[in-house]
Amino acid sequence: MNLDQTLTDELRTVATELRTPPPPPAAELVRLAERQRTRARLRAAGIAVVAAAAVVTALALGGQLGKPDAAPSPAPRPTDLPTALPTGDPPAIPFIENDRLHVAGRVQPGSWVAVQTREGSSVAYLDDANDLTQTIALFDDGDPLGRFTDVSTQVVVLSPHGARAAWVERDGSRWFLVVYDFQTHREQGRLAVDARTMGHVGVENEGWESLGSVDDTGTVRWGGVLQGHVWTPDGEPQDTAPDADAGTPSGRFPVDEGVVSLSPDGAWGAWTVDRTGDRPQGTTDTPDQYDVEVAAQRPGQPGTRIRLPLPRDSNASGIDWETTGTFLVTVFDDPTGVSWHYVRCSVVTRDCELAPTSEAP
Amino acid sequence: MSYEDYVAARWSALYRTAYLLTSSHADAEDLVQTTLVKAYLSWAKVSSAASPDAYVRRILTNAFLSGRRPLRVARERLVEQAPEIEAPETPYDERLVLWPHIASLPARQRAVVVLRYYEDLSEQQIADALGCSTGTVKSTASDALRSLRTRLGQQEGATS
Repeated sequence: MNLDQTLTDELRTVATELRTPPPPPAAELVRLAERQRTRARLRAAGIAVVAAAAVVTALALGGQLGKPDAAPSPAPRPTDLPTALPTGDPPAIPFIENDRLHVAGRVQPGSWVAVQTREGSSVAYLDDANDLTQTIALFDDGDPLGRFTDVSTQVVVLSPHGARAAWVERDGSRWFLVVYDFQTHREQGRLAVDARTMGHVGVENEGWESLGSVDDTGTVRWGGVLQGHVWTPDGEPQDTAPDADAGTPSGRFPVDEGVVSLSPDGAWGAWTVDRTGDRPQGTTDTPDQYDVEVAAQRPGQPGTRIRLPLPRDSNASGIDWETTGTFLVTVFDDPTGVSWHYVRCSVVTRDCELAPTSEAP
Repeated sequence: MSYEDYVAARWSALYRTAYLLTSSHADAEDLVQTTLVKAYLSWAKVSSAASPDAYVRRILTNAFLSGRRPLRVARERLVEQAPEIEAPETPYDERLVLWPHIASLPARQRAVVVLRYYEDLSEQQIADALGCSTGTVKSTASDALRSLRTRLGQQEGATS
């Protein structure tokens, strides 16, 4: 048998005799793509966005944060949920509503898509992203520190206590890994990186690398499926093995620690989970699955776990701690991602409330 | 060419390739949809590429390969051997001696076989599509052919 010719013949036979279904409407693919674009940015950044008219009174989020010492309890069924939450104070950290960025009571010029905050240090994303780059703005306790253009569309990472930020930036045809110091309000250092791996130029492939984390001294970790790296400004970059344990629970939490948002004092961690199990949100096989709730616990103490069920067909994106005891969750109850609300939950009072925004009806 | 025109013109061809890769109608449809969504997100680059088809083929093969990785290692580690694929949905056809075995090859070997023997791509074009070296393409193709010969031999031995 001529194996080469037989392979060609058989593959063409299978393909030719295949009955292909009609294509889906292109508009449907476009809609999926736009939703994916928005949601990917929101989820990856752990950021907070509020858009359009927030029908806060219709929000049906359960406010049953459990007692810290109680055993984990199964999530109530949606029919058990209250239909409304009490209304508390507006968000104390920067937020976006109707594409407008509110920082310390002031609306910033421009149209914005996202903002993330850690202990007073904020990074906001202007709605100007193209395939490769975008503009970001930094704030320190509400004070604007400047806008940075030509920043990679990769998510900017903030250090655990907000002392540093790191991002990838294009300068002409070259790309750099940049570490910013929120304490001195200056760039701490930059390192030239490969456009093909870190600039994400070209088609997505296994060689692409992404920012992982930056610590409060400026040490950055990044990598991909083939290689890991670590670099501290003023030092030389070092190659590391890819983190084979990524995505595996560390033991401190039942999910990958990379998806856990730690409180400023590190005493609590909160994350969003697929209600069908303990998989972190975003790891389900079906990207458009909206069966999500919020969980929190003390590190390494599963008995303190508390779960915040969301109503059916709602979703949560982004957990930002306002204080050591309260965090804001961005919740949308619209599968299209149009209607967003802020909810403040407290691990101290074990309760949740709406955090109204100035433009909410 | 507009995105809408491209979808209408290339859906069937992409579906056939996707089916040869996945051997499942449902998976093929998902794979082409995923591919076209990704293509839309990079449409400026796709439409201005020297060969939009080659660009989209890269998206499709990478989506196929990345989609078959176990979840736990999907983010950080390359797997040497992807899980074997289930038997094809196509009814048994005695004309098809190799197809059942192709369908059970590891994902990367299968991708190389489909790109080489169905799409008739060169080793360099396959390497471009998979984002690897031509040496890797050669060794992967060699492994696939050796595996197919072994399975054929076993099959003939069992039926004789």
